[in-house]
Amino acid sequence: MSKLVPTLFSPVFLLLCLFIQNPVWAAEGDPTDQPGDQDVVTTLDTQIQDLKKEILDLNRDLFLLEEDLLFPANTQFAVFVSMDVGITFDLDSVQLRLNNKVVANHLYTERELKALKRGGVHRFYTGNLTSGEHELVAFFVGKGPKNRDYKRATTIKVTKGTEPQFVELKISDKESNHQPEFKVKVWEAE
Amino acid sequence: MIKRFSTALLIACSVLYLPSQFACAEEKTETLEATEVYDLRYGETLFNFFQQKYFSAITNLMVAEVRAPIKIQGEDPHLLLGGLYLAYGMHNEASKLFQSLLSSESLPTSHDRAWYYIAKLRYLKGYIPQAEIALTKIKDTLPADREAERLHLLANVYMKQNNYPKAIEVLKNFSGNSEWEAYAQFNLGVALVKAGQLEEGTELLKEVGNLEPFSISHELNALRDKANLALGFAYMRSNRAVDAEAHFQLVRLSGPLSNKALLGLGWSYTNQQRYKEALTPWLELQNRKALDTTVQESLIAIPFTIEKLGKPRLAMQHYQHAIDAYAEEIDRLEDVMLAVQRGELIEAMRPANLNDETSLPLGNFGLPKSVTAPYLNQMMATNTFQEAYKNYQSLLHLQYVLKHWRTQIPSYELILTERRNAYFTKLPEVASDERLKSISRMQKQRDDFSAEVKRIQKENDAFGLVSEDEEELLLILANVKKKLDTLSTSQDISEERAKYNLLKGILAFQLESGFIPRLWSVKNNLKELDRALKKTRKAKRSLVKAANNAPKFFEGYDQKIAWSKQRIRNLLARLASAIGKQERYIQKLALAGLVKRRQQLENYHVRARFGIARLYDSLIIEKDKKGEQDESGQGEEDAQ
Repeated sequence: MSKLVPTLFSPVFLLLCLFIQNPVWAAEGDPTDQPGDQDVVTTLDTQIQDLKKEILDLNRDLFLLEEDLLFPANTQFAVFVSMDVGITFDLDSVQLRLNNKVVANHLYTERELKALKRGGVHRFYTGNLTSGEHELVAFFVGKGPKNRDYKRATTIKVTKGTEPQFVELKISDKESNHQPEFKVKVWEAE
Repeated sequence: MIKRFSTALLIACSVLYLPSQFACAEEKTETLEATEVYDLRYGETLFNFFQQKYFSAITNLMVAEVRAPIKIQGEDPHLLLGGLYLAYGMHNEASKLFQSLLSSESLPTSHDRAWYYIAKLRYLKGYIPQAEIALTKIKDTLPADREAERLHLLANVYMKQNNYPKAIEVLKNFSGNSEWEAYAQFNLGVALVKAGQLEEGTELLKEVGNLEPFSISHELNALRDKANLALGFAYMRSNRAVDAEAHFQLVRLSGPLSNKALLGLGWSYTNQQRYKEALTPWLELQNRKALDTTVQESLIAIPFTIEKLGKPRLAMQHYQHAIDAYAEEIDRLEDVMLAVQRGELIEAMRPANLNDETSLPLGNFGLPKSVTAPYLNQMMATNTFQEAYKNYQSLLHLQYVLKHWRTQIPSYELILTERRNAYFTKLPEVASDERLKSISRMQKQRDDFSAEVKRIQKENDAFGLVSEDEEELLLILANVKKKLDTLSTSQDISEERAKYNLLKGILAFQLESGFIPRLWSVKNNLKELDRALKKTRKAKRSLVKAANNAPKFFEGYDQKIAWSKQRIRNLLARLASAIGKQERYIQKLALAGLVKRRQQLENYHVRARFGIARLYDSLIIEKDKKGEQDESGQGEEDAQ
């Protein structure tokens, strides 16, 4: 009987044994196994890689151009949001007021929050500020300890000079009282 | 405090999933550990990278490189960029970058990581001996988990070269309970079986297949199923159906491999001539919704087994059922092929939001009914199709990016025009402002004052610092004196003169005694004047500088914009062509997969028809035999 299986149902049996012939990692029924096709695929892939490179270069140039035109170095001012662990606070949104005027709002997605928790830094606002003193207020809204609604504001006075200025708003956990902490750091441009 | 780990190496696992060889990498989940950030731009890059926004993340690093390279993150930015190139499917760029990192005087850790990437790249491209060289260049700076991954890759490299003793040797170098070790064991086991070394191969597979299912991760459970399935088929091939049965039964009934295991189990029973038992897993397969190959095979396997049970009429019924099912499926498949040819698949694959650069896994979008078929889904799950889809998505996103820039360019041109106009309008106004010219006159006046103050101080000239009121009093006194002198010739005015002298003396005393404070006050005023003049001169300089610099805010950009416009035009044309090619390629892939399936179905269909014909023939022959027997019996009776 054992010989009947391969004799009568050889394609079926062969298909079964394909599993062992081509281990599990192999793509089942991969249609690009003809040598001619492979060359076409490689050429197309190279073309796409070249296109990506050229568009990335152009994108960089245009990005720099836009920054030069819209946010010149002498007035450029940017605010970033970062998170250190973020166990005691589940961030929902941040609002930024500059000299008592709302300039930015952002509602964070799950994906963005994950990225923040892993060390990513979100460029939250980019604008222009004249030289001199300015008041910046950031409102953080989310869920605090024990899943309670939580809203906190942090105020900072910044003195803008003629170099670009970057402010980092950092949410971190205060271990001593299990409360979130909102720190502000002003980064000097190099 | 956040824990530091290598982001670049994380990418190695998450993006370089080595489609053809690694059973593991695509199943490896991301680690939610944080990276310590010393530079905001690096953090911004990570923010995009962690969201799989590779295009934006690469742009972040490229812009930083132009503005001011990120230095305080050590070598990580370069490794990160290389990893991002890989993730974005730019293998050639990644390779160049890693090679340049190796030729630089970077840290040994960076060298090791660069070699690691290069090894993977070479492996991907099929340069196996070169991949081996790269792997052996790595010293001892990789973290434990990555080292395990390196050993896994090395084992695969040896397997590819059929150097199984070396691959087995590599297995001994794993330390701890690494999942990579299990994957290496599995791959090596399969490779050995494939090479005919059944005993050695099955021993390795058994180790994986006998992992305790409740104490291992989801990934390892999936691997355990794969090992048992592989063992089952290996034993089937060696006609060891009893051993095969044992391993098929170890595969989880709810796992993705359960269909294959059920099919195999049926065959292992058939091989042992336990036909009745074989029907149980196959009938279970028929209850499953997914019409995949295993279910289709069971359609034809069931009547075969029923026939073996000596029930040809029931077997014929099942063959007929199989024929109907195959015919129906072939019709459905042809409809799907037509829909694919009409471009409905491509239409469905276009993301709704072109601005979203994160590559959505295929299957996350809803396919229209016309192109929905289990075969198509299976084909879409292949690495080739997934790569083609990712590239297609990237091309569409790039097209969106370029079109976005194309709409932005006019506003930049407007900004420049406005700046230029403002400059040429304001410049003559500023140049002709009288206040600017009076600064030098004011400076001269100040110098005159200063010289006078110096003289007053030198000569102790208290009268030089009289106030307006005092000056009036002095004038009055001078008039009084003049009148006294006139009157003194005609009458006695000694009393009046004495009064005059007294008043003059009082005034002189006041002036003399107030000289020092007055001089101090005047000098202070002079200093204030100097400060005001300095400020004015600074403002003038700043104004002149601004006027001189103003052209910088609009000059030179025209050429840049014109060049960018040309580049956008050119690239959009090339993109359109590439998108067209990619669409045709995807369609071709889909159709090729469907044609293959159709052939398979047709094959089953023919076999089922053959089966039914064969049974029919045998029944006729049997009937004829019976008829002959009956006739001869009747003849004998007649003779008697």
